[in-house]
Amino acid sequence: MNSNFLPESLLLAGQYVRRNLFLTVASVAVMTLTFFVTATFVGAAAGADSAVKFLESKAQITVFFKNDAPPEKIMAIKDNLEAGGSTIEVKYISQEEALKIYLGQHQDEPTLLESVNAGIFPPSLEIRGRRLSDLPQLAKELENKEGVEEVVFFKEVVDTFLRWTQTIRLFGLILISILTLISVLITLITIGMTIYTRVEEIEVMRLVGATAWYIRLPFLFQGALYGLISASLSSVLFLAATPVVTPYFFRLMGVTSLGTVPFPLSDPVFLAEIVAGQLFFGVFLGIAGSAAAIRKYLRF
Amino acid sequence: MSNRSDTGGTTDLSEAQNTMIEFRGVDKEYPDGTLALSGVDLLIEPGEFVFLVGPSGAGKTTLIKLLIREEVASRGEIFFRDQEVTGLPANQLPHLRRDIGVVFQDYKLLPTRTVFENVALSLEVVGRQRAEINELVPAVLKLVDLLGKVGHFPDQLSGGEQQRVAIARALVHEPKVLIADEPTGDVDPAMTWSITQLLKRINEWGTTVIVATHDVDVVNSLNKRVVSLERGRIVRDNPQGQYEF
Repeated sequence: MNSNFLPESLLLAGQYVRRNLFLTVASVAVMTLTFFVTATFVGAAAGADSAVKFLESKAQITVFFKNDAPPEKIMAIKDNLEAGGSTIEVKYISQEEALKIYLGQHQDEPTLLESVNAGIFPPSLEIRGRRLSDLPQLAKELENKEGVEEVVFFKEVVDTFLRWTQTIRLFGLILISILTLISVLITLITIGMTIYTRVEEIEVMRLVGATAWYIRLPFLFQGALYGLISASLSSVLFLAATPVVTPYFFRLMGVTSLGTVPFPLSDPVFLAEIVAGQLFFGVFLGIAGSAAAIRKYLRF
Repeated sequence: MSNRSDTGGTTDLSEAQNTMIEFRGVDKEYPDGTLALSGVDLLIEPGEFVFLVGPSGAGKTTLIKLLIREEVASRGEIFFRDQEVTGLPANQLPHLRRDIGVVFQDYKLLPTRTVFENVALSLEVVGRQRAEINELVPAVLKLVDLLGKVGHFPDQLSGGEQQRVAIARALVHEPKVLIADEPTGDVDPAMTWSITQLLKRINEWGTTVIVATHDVDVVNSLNKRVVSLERGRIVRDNPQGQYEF
């Protein structure tokens, strides 16, 4: 392959893109939609995963005791739970520690801190179980223990998240598959139309001694360019939409009251991976569409 | 792929090296049953100027198409220098076509490309550097007297000018053989003379020239070899012939 081959092919590809402007816009629009939807679902799935892990890492059962419950009784329940083997961690939060946590969470809201003292916070045990499936039984047993005021159980929230994650993955997979197929088809049609409008030129090229790759490569580049442009547009849209959409996403899942959930979409490394993935997927999809068109319409 | 010296055994090596083109018992039958060429034997040596003459439908264009493998012979063998063309693998065809410049009957100029770009195409496809293209294209356009129309599009040119662009495109990459299919078909007598003289000059520089035509005046004006075709068969082959009816 000589040194002029690639730049000449790229120039020709650029010409094909410009001279089929209407088809270019249609292809780029559909591909942009595909990549944006894909990125959105990947982001949402990653967000849901991250939230599930966050919730699982938090206390799954919190047992609040009556304010007058003797610490030694609470510690006995704690020891008992630890010996039982169905928990990973059991943490005792005294009334003083509960006050400290409260003060830490509300230090910027002085009105909430007025006349607050340790006496109004109940002592508690924060429990992380080994398996989510063991938690309902464990929660039930704790409710009947002496001195227990209330058992707060996060399983439902975790389950909701798991359901959301599965739904997002399934729905996303179906939608992405359909859009990917449409993208490949529209690229195939666009490149096919380009080939069709250039039949005469291709014939002359062949007759004056062009190799098959000299003729094919610009069309592959054309597809790759569509993919690259679409993935870039989608990335810009995605980066712009993320900070706006993320709070709605959490509100939809009902986790606004759970404090700060570490969300991967606020991680620059994750965002860079999404953008890089889109660009790669874009070029791949564009080339796949072109290759299909070449195979179908450019036989020699 | 076979070469000339190992097929048939009738051609010795020295003869093989002196031959540019050879057709051996070539038939071309189209799928609808039309027999376009039948039992064609033809030998053309380097530097020759050959007229292929005959009425429309005699098989002149088919013979050219077989040589550049735009069509495939139904039977027989065709050699270009040392290569057997009929069985040439697809990836070797570009190399064959780079050695044979063809001026097509319908010119095959690209309407969206300028004169310069049409001629440059022959060099672009073989990967010549841009600087080289910028040097060679004007030179060949000067030769065909079209230097003043480099930026024109084909539909802004007369028939004769389009014909000369086609000649420039066929010639710019210095092929070993130049084939012109009815080069004077659509041009006035003055332009016919001009194109004929141009082809003669190209031949004098050493390029083998094959002209398919049924223009009596063109054939008779040059006194070159004349191969006459009728209904797909070679009926006459005169080394310094005239167009005979």
